[in-house]
Amino acid sequence: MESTTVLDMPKIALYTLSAEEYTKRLVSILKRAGKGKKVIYLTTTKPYSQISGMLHEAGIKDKDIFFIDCVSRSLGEKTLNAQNCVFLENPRNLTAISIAINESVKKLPGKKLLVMDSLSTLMLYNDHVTMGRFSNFVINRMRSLDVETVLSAFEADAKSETLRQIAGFVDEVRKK
Amino acid sequence: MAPSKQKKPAQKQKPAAAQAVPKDDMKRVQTGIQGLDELIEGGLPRGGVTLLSGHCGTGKATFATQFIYYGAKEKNEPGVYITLEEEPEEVMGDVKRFGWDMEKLVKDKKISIIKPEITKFDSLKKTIEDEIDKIGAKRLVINPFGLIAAYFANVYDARKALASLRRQMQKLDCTALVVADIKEGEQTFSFTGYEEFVVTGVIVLDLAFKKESNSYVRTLFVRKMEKSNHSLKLVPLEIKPDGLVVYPDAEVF
Repeated sequence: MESTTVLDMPKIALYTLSAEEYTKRLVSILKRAGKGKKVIYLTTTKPYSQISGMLHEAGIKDKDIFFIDCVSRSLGEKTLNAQNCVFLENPRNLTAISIAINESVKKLPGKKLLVMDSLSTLMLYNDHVTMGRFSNFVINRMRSLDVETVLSAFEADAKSETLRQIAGFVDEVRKK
Repeated sequence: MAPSKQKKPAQKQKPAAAQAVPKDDMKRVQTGIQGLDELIEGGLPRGGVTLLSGHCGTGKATFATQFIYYGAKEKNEPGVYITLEEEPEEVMGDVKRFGWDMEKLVKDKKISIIKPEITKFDSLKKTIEDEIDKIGAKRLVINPFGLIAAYFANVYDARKALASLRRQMQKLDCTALVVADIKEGEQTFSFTGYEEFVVTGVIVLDLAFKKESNSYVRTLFVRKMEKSNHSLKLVPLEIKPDGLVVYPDAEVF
């Protein structure tokens, strides 16, 4: 997939990021795209506590972010006392993820940004057809609700059938 | 649930079926199941009989109790719950975990839970009518209807019995939910396979197996709802700490 520039900040963008600097680059995208917005951060790569800490260090305030954490429970971490996070069982259950995204978007006021970190993890557990259906659903839903969306994946997966299909659904593909 | 927390969905998020204006003047009875009424033009057809069908563990009993509890607590619509297997105390006890104080509503004569002996269907009908009259009930649950159907010598008599219950509900202006247990692997929605043709509506609860996650997802599907432009989408359902919630905007993957 080639990087193209359609708009400065596309509504729905797919970012393919190098594994070495994945988190650093995602945080920098979030800092830029999330300005003045409430951020819904779906994490399937690291537990909420780690991501939250990294974002805090980058100067992003907790009150502006709501997390959907698909990792902590599967690691057996304690998940009771987080006001701004919903914990799902694992990254395999796309139905539960779609419900959590929908409900979070409805709950938060004002302009919103959804960050999905990452499609590569979801692809480990879900087949190509299911991933295509799920991604298409999320993209269309966010578009209809006017929610800017950042989908991220590892650069190494860029040529996979799933990501090539998803590239056709988004406004722009960016390689970082 | 649900009762006190039921949110009004944003207008622009409603599915097409929910936006359609009913062509008749059919009045609707809000179910109290958050998200469901959007799929059926605002609620169950008033005075109708809806079959609530599903395999074991799909949430039928919770759904039925939530329907009765919500009506009595939030809509001032008293309800009669006919339980044919569980004791009334069990029905009330099962839902305490949701914070539903059924006992108080029973004490206040907003809900009546009875477990009648089934000898003849006519005497059961009389019992139902008496209970409805006693508290001015607007809602009725029979759980499970299969036990009544099993008493008939043939399926046609069971079908006739349900048709007569439907006429009775219409006459009494009472909206009924009839629970149908389905055996695993059955292709019908009821005990005899005929009940679904007689009733006003059929709501199917199920568990869909997802091999990717090696787990089941709860689903709801409106198979039939007379005089309604109802949704045909399979939607996810969850049992939350305060009752059942349907997600009309989400998908089952």
